[in-house]
Amino acid sequence: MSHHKLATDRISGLPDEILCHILSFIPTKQAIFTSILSKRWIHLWRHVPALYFINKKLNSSQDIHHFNQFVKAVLHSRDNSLSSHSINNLAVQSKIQYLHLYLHARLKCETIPPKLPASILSCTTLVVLKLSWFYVDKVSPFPLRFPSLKTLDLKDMNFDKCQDFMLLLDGCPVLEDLQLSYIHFIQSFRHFDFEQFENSSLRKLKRAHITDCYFHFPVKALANVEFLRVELWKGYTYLPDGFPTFHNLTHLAVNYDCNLAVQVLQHCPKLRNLELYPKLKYAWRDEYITKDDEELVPICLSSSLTTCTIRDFVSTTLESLIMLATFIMKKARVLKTMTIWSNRKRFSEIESKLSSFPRASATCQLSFQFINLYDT
Amino acid sequence: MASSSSNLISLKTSDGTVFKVERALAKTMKTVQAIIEEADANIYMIPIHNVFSHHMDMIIDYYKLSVAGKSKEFSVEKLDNDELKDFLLAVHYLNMEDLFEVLTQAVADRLEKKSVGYVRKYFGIENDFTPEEYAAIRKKNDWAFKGDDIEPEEDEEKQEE
Repeated sequence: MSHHKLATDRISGLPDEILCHILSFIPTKQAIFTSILSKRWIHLWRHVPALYFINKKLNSSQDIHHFNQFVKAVLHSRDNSLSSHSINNLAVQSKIQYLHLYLHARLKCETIPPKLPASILSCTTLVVLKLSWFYVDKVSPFPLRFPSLKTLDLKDMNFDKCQDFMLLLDGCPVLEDLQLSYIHFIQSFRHFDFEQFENSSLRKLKRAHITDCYFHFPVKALANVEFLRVELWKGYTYLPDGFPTFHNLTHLAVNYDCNLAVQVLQHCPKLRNLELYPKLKYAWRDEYITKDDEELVPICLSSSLTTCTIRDFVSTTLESLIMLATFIMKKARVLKTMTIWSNRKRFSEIESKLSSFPRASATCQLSFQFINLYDT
Repeated sequence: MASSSSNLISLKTSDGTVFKVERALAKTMKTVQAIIEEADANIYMIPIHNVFSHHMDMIIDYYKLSVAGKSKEFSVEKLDNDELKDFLLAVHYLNMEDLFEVLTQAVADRLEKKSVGYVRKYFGIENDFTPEEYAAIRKKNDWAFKGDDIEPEEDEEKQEE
């Protein structure tokens, strides 16, 4: 039992700025509830520089409309001096730094995502922006759109044209963390439409996570990243020349077939951690490592790679997995762990082939994790 | 004995314990770093007010875990709300960015998805509204309260009184 008085206000003993900071981690709807805790708390939620909306129950366009109204009401009540109910300008006036807008429409294929309020795109104070399930139409060229944005997370987004998407990225000069998944374009595009953005300055980008994006993301713009997770797909004709040298890359997760994996490794001279996960269903048939030249051995294998994980999948042939694993074990001189994720059935064959295989690194340990091969 | 050329910095907590910490750890404490930079070359001991030895123990634990890349293993679950609040204040005083984020997230986690009545009881926040004031503020923010699973629980309020 605590020796404090029963009436001690434990959390309210913290200064306002800390309380606001705590509230910034809580969904906005709940943060507003704190306004009825005590007098001190009436206005605190308004000073939280973060808006965090997660709504998981949007089943119809009516739900979406209701949600939009809620967002408007929040922005409006943060700044009572505005008489207009328009959502324009409200986000900017509120000096918002963190914005999470996640919508989940239950029947995505049947509903059209709502249009992203234009004021979000002109909210220049943003530091973190996370959006899910919106349609973005025109993005005007505006070089300093998000001068402070460090984290951008876009999921299930429809852009009108690929130029709109690229212009958005162009407006984030200090971006450090980029996550993209399921980005689609309404208007058709060709692969070279992205080439003009290759010199896009994502110079400060440290982490990039790009999955389920079936277009030619300008990978050259990612040259400075330290962490990269990327999903290559069948139409991606950019290897090997389309890849830059990743001077700072220490952690790479990429889907594989043997040849491709080796080619990608050529571009990662300082790689320490490698994760190879199953290829997509639209991928190539298995290709095998054809040459075993010393010349073709990627630098990172001989000098920096310390951990490697290879994940098995239902459509992967054992032969290709074993070939890839043995190639790496044979060439990776400072490898500490090679981990294979597979099911128990295939495990014994993999283990028998790999455990006695000569390893370039004396400290290399082989380990296994058991998974369901149907899990991606 | 610590001098500015050694790798260890001496920090003295409010309860009088002296901790010798690596310079790299002291660097994560912006308050301490500012003191070091402003002082002359021969600072021997830096007093850190509002920070107790049990806070320093946890700070050192966190530092060791984050250096080993295991900062996610750091947990404050065993701390009760008072202890968590005090720790948060100490870390805030020392101006340690990363650990501060971890602790505010931890407090937020304890608050999230709980009803207002629960939050009030759990953290011992005194309701200083008169019934009229309370009704007024509820009405004013009514648009936010309707139609959601986190209904402010008035029943708990009434039971308290």
